[in-house]
Amino acid sequence: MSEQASGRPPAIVLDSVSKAFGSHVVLDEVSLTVRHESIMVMLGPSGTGKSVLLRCLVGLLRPDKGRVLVFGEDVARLDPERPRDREELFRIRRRFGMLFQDGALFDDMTVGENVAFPMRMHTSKSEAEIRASVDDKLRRVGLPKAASKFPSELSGGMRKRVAFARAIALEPDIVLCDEPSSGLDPVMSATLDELILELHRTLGMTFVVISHDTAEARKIADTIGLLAKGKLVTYGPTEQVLRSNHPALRQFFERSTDGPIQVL
Amino acid sequence: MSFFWFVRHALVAQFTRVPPLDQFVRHMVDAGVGSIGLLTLLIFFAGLSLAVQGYAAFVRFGGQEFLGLFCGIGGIRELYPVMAAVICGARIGANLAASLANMQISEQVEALEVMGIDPMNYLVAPRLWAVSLAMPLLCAYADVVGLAASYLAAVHQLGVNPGNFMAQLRGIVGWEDLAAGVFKGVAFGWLVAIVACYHGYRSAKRDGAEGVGIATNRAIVHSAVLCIVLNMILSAILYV
Amino acid sequence: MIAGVRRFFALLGEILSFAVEVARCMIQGPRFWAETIRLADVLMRRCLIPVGLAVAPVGAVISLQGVSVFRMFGADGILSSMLAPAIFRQYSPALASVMVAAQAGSSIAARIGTMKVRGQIDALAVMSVDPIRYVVVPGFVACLFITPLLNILTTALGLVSGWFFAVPVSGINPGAFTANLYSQVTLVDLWVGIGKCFFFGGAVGLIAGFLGLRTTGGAAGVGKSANNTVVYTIILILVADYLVSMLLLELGL
Repeated sequence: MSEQASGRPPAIVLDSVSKAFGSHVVLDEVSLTVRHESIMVMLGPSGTGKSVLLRCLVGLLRPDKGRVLVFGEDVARLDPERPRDREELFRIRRRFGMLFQDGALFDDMTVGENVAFPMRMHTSKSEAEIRASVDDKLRRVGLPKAASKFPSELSGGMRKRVAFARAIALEPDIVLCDEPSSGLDPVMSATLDELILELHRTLGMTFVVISHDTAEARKIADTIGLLAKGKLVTYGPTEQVLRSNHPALRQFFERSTDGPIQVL
Repeated sequence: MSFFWFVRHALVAQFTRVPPLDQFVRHMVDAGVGSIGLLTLLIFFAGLSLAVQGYAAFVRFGGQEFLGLFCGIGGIRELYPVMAAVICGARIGANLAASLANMQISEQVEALEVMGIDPMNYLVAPRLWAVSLAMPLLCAYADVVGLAASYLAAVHQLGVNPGNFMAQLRGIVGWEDLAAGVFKGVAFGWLVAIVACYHGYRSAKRDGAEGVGIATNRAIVHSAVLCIVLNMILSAILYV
Repeated sequence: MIAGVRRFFALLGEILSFAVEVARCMIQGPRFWAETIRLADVLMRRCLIPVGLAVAPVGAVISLQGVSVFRMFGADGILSSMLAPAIFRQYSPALASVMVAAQAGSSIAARIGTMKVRGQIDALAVMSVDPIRYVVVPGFVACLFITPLLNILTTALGLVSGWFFAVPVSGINPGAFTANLYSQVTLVDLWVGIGKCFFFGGAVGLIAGFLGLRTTGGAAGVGKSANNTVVYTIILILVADYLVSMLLLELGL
């Protein structure tokens, strides 16, 4: 809350955000605040609206109700089908980088071109500067020699790391990660966790991570949330959440079948 | 997302900004050069068929010397442009729909959006330009190949007098017919591209591999049907 | 070039041996009749509108352009004697088959391709259900029968639209139109049209099954299989069409 005192708005504020697809309510009055330069991990069983939440932050989906403030600007107000609002959305989105679940690398471009793409589109950097920056990003994710390969030649873990390099290419203020550890072996997911911590430390980026991996949350998060059936069950600093006795949370962390979260 | 919403935004994207040139060139080459082999083969056979059929029809009442006339009107005005549109449309449209659908289901389109790049400008507009410029060239090329094939069949196979064939052809086919063919080509090209882009763009991640198949199938069928119907409408306007 | 030719013949060989395999599977059961009928029903419904919409304009265009030619000789009364054989023998079968390839062929290839890339084809094989018997043969048989059926419908539709553009639109004498309509049509034309459709329909089902089962490369591969099915069958239809026309001309039919 010291930030409010310094007059700087928090990175992200969700104010009673609701979203339904037909009669299926995916987000139900979710409110939360993400501080600057923090790592927020949103946990939850699959199919509970984590992905929808993430998409609402960048205006890929528009909530039915509520406000989504990104650095004080309301994204939910903007209608992606209206040309003027689209322009506004595109401007706000440049402060974001996003790591998609399966990478979403462009198949027809090499790894290097993929990472260079946001810079080519949005900056007036020279080719030499771009190349230097691409090399730097690829080195950070541990793939210094992959620049001329195509995405189809890489393993799943490598693709995800390249996607990471692309997500941070413009050194955005906020990086969104959609299930960074899904489909990866434990060692590779640990590597990605290290990477998030490293980038957070060196570049001071804010991370919003959605995951169902409690070990990952313990390792990287300074704020943890738990989303179940569209409701934000709990939200707070990691130590506090880990100490809490909320049944759903305990069930999730203990990998138990009995508790408030029922799949059958 | 309705078709009309898509068309409106695609038109805005197509005519308010310069499309990314590298994308435009790539799709122009893909659509144009990539279709030439297939088009040559098919139009060649269609040209031969047209002459043979015309001959078979006319010989019944002794009118086989009018084959040049028949091939000129049937081929240049109707068959070659619409066939080029259906064949190239099936190929180009299927490719466009499949590649855009694949980009949708692997979240590449969302990735563009998040990077603050409008997929309508970056993906759709250059494809629309490329196909609507490539298609008239392909139609004109089809005219040449088809006529050559008809001439070959008529003169060498069916024994029609070559001078007579050419004289009739020149008498009936004028520059305005070729211009009409080019005009038809632009319309077919734009139609194929917009239909294919729409079906590809409309796919979503949850559709998976199946979604790519569905988008491809719909693009092929809708673009073929629409081109044939549009051809009828244009012919009715141009030649009645 | 040489490599391309060699690849073409290799592919042709593979398709032929696939056809033999399909024939063998059809002769020795088990046969999945219920699945075949269900599929034929679905494909017939899906094809009806596209096939109709594709063939009807052709009759219209033949009339439209034919009128302008026959008027030059003052012989517009005999327009219908050219329209009918062209529709019966040529355009209706060819276009109906092309549209069946576009609609049914590409959807069969996409469906089988999706099953292949998702591993469902392998799953069938592991459960000792022969994928050819279970997914390819029903599609093949369905295409074999729906194409001639659709052709009968589209022939009628082509004649009606031809009539519409000749008589009410261009003002040709209705009596002359109907009198000349069947003057040049023989039973041969009818059978040739149906026979071609039977052959082309079978080819659509066969090629769709063949390319569907060979799908690789994930979602993009599914699109490619659907696309190639249409392209290959259009090539086959046009080349075969020409050869049949030549043969009939030689035989004087």
